[in-house]
Amino acid sequence: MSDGRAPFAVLGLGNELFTDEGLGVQAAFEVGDALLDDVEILDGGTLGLALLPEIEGRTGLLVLDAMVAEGSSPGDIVVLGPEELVRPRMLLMSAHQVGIAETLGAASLLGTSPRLLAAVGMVPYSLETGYGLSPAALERLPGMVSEALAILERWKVEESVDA
Amino acid sequence: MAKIAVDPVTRIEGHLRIEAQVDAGQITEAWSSCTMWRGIETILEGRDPRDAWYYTQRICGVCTTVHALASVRAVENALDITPPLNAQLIRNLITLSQFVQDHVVHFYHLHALDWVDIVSALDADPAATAALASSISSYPKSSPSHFAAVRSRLQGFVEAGQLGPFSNGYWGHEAYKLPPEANLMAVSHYLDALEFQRDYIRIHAMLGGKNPHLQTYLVGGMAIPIDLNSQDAINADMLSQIRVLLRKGLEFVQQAYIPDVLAVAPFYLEWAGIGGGLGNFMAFGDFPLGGANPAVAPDDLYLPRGVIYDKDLSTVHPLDPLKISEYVTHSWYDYESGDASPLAPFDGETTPNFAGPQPPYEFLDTEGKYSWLKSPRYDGRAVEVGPLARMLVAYASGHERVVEVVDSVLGTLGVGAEVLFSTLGRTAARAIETLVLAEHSLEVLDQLTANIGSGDWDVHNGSKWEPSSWPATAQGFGMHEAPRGGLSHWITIKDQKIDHYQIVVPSTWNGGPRDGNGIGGAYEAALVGTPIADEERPLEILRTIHSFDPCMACAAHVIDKDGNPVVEVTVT
Repeated sequence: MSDGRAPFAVLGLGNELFTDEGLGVQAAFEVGDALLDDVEILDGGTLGLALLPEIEGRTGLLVLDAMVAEGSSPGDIVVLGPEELVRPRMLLMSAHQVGIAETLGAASLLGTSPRLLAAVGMVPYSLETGYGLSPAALERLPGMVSEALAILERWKVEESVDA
Repeated sequence: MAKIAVDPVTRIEGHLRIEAQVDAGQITEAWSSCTMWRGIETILEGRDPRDAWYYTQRICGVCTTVHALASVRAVENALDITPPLNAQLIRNLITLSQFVQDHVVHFYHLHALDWVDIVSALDADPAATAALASSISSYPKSSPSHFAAVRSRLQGFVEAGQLGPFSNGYWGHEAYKLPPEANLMAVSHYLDALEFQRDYIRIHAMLGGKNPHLQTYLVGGMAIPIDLNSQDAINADMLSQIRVLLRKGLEFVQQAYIPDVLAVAPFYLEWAGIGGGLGNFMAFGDFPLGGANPAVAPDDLYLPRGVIYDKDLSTVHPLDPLKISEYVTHSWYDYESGDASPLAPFDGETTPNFAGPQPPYEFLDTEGKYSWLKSPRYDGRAVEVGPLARMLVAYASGHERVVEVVDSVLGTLGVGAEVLFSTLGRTAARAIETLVLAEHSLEVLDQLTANIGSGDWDVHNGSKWEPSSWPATAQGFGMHEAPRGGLSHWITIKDQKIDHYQIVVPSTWNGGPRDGNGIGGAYEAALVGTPIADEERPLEILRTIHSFDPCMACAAHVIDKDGNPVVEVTVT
């Protein structure tokens, strides 16, 4: 990358003040522990458009977040491809609802969206107010982290930047 | 007679929900509900007061800096700490750039879509668009070929079925009035605003030490050193980079934001008579000119403090923070002393008592408790906070620059000051404020540069950093004008730990439910009288609610894999 940034970014999303809401951020830090070359770890919190400069111009963006899916149970690991990730919402009531889907939509309008997009999530056990993950989510976190690492490894092979 | 509910559904938790009674095409009564429990305060008790800002910063994904600042101010007020002038000025720069970025994003990426029909822009003639754009502003990207390129880009998105952030708007709604050329110009500026805000907010990366969350707040000052001889500190190079960005911000506001508001407003002048609401306005004031904490130096602020009652601009009443109290009569909380009377924030309680329906449900029981927001009142009265309140208090106080800009905008539109009490007035006030504060940001940078140049590199007052230097108990509050309005944090410190913490956020002032006297908040008041052309597509509700720039959906961003509708409109 011309600006010296890593071609791949892992973006942890969520609010650490609501227990498992913050599991994406926690998972991102743990992916960071693997010390992969060419991968930058980002703590996105619950930011929206402010993440645009972090996202733009990357080859690949992997989003980690708490997710819900039809028929899923707490602890399930969910993997989303680009189509599901950028599915836009309907009308927004507040600028605070500008989330990752809208931010990726904006990057796409500007022609600066990462070419490779994926998300790994876990269905939360608890969204109670409190700092730190629930014990059950903590126990399932390694599964989410290895799913994330597998995607990064695959991207790096495909892009042959790990030579 | 119909009842409408507008509710952004996320299935895991709700956010802002509006219910409105519609009679003969007009809203006769409205209820505003926040359907998400927060109670962040309970996390803070027992923690080190010096860490409070770090936790409160996480409350919100858009207003990260505002809670950090209100929190450090509260602790500094409690412990009687005055930060050095440099620290105050750096905080002002972070806040001012936050205002400019936040207001621009709100206008172009949320609110403009209430007035601009994206799909209609496809019918625009690029040459006529260029003529329109050149007639209102010297904004550089205004050629026919530029607008032709934007139109074909938009066409590509529409044809690919990828409207992205524009998907599923109420496009084609009869309440959209702009000609296609004005719509195309707005789309073009929407894209430019995206690029602008992305570059501009680098100021935060420079002064915040880390992106995306700022890390440089500190009780007693700031944790970013000033050293003209160092690469890793605020130095001459950084100051000049910040100057370039602040100038770009001012240019964008002068050449795009203000002209766009002036170009759109004439098509929607009926909205200058809709959405006025309470008529009571409160501003804490902000941007300390010297070093003192705004809690103790209300007269040393760039934007003034005060209260206006009943739309009477002839009198600005002084504001006493200790006259703030909060009702929970219609909120899902219990007070130990009963729910009929309010409590001051220092005595505030955060004890949840959810009595609402389990989703899915049709309507809330608005006779009883119906919101997670409390109902804050000033001296017993419901007041509006935010850009309109700030600009009205400044205007009525005779703030020279605000008077000049407000009068110039009113003059251009050929209207009097009475139109400010409206949905359109709120939107115009936000633009006016952005201009005034973008200008002020350069003055603050001048002041900082001069102070550093005089040899003062001090950024932190550490005299009371050690908890052993604190009294056994201390109490303080931090007041801050956040982009959405007056924010206050209230702390009680006991035995060096947080004993009690309360946060009164702007959107609670504006979006709270009825109080113990049955008086509604600013959203509820402003919606009364709003016309509704199509109950299935209540665009008009969004216009007025968006004009307040609600701060509701913060704090929870669970992705919904199944792409369920985020807004559910129920009509009965």
